[in-house]
Amino acid sequence: MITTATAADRADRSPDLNLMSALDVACAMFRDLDGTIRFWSVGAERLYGWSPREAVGRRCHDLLATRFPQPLEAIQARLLRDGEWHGELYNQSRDLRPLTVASHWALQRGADGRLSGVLEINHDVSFQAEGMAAMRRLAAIVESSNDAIIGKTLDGIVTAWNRAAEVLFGWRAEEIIGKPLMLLFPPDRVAEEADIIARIRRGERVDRYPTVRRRKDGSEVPVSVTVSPIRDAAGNIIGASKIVHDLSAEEAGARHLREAQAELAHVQRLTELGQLVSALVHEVNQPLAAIGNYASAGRRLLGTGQTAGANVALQKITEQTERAHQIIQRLRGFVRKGDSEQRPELLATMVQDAVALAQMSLRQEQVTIETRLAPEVGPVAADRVQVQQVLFNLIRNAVEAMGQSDRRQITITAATDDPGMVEISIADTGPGLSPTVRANLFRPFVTTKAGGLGVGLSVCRSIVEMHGGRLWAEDNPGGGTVFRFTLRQAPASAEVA
Amino acid sequence: MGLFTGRPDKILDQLMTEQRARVIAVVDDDEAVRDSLAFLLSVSGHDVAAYGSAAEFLEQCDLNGVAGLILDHHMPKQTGLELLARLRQDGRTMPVLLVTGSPSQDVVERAGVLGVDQVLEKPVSDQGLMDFVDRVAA
Repeated sequence: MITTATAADRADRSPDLNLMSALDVACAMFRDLDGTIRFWSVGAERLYGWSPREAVGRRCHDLLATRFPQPLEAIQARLLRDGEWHGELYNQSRDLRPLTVASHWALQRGADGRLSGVLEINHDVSFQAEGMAAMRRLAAIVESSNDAIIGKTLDGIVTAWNRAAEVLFGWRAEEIIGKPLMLLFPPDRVAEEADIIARIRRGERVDRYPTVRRRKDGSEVPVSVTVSPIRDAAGNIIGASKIVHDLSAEEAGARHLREAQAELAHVQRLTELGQLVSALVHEVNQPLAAIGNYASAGRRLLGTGQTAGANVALQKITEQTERAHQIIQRLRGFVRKGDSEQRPELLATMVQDAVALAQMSLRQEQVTIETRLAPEVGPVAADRVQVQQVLFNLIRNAVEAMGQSDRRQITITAATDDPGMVEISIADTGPGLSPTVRANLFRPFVTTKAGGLGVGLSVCRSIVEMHGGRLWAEDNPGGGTVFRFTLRQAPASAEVA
Repeated sequence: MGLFTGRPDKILDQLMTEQRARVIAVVDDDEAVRDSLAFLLSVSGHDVAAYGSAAEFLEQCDLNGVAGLILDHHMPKQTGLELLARLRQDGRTMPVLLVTGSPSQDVVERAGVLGVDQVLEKPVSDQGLMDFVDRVAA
């Protein structure tokens, strides 16, 4: 029990007075029940800047501009109940600096047992408070990031896991902290972790490394990973911080772009052909018109027995026929054999690429696609872009053929039946080909598509024939149509680029 | 209205034109088409004059002697219909057979406005051609 003491008392070396010296070191003050300061320690002057003469007699909470964490009434109620209270307060120094203090209040009673006032002892925790606030701000930044942010030890144990990591990988923080990060690695990427840790130990960063990780449910996700070393205060590397960016959207975007580009190339090619067709029509009409006129003239001449004149007419007809032939030859020249560069290529890759290119329409029309390439099928001699175009075209045709079908499945197979040749087939489950359509299938300018030019299949056939193969259509035993084409096997010694 | 209508100073021209108009004029930029038409028409007993362009036609042809005009539409410098517009503007009323490789709606409509007898698609049938020629050079 403390009683207020005067300076004279301090000279007395009783236990009470030793306590008073101790109090002076601390920031301590005593205030009576209405809040008026009666005692102000040396420590209080040091912390707040007010001298005892300035402080004593002033209302404590006014002088210090105190802000309370809870309503003052609640604090006072606690004080009355327990005899004490402690908590953090916000004060202001004499020179208006903000201070955060850890404060302890003790209720005092006089010698008569009645309440006399409150002893308050404060400890400046401004620095720590500011540190805590800064940490909270940083934590908020990490939590609000859209990218997964993960902390791990050098042994690969997860130490930190933000909300975006929970969303991306499906593991909740409490499930994965303390477990090995290897849980996120697909089997074929396991070697990466050792490599990354080695780099981190050397103090190196790993920047935007594209790879694949695995979610809690086993599905894989394409990601870009950035890893940086975490150092302690002494500069030693104690762990790593990983930022994992989900690349699914970017990859989908890139896929759409590639598909659109393939569409565009295809349409451009058709447009070029369309223009060629128009030019051809115009040009061929001229010799035809002349032939018609000469034929009419010839018949009239024969009708009047003028055989010499009729011969002239027939001669002219022959000339005009030759002219028409030249025009056709020029058209052929546009599709030169030299246009295709045939190299050893992997069939599987070309099929995969063509399927990837057609993803949009496959998904839109809900068509399932199954690929069965016999293992003994090796590289083929192919111009990759052209063969891809054939595959893409046939896949798209198959999708369109099944537009009204309940069952929509495309099956792509490859086998080596004929020695030296590979046979690729694309089968659909559509309605099949009627005899009329079948007869005109590869004829240019005949089409069942509204607005179609009808050159798609004839171009495909030209490409396949330029590769030394054949393209034809058959009925699919299970219903639908199968398009088959052949390509030459690449020479055994050939290296695939 | 009488046969001879219009301005008095033109009536004499018209009289003389009616008596002299026997030539079938052919305008087509393709040499083979031109030559074959000329061949066919002369075999059929008509007078023919063939020109390789609208300019050549306007420069060299005696328009008063023309009984009928067989006109190709698709020509490089001036199209058949452009030439015809010019002729109509100048008061020329001779019958015209317009020949085109691709008869579009626009071409047919414009031809109607310019008073074309017929629009035929190339290659023109023997019948279509001779019907026109026999009618105008009667």
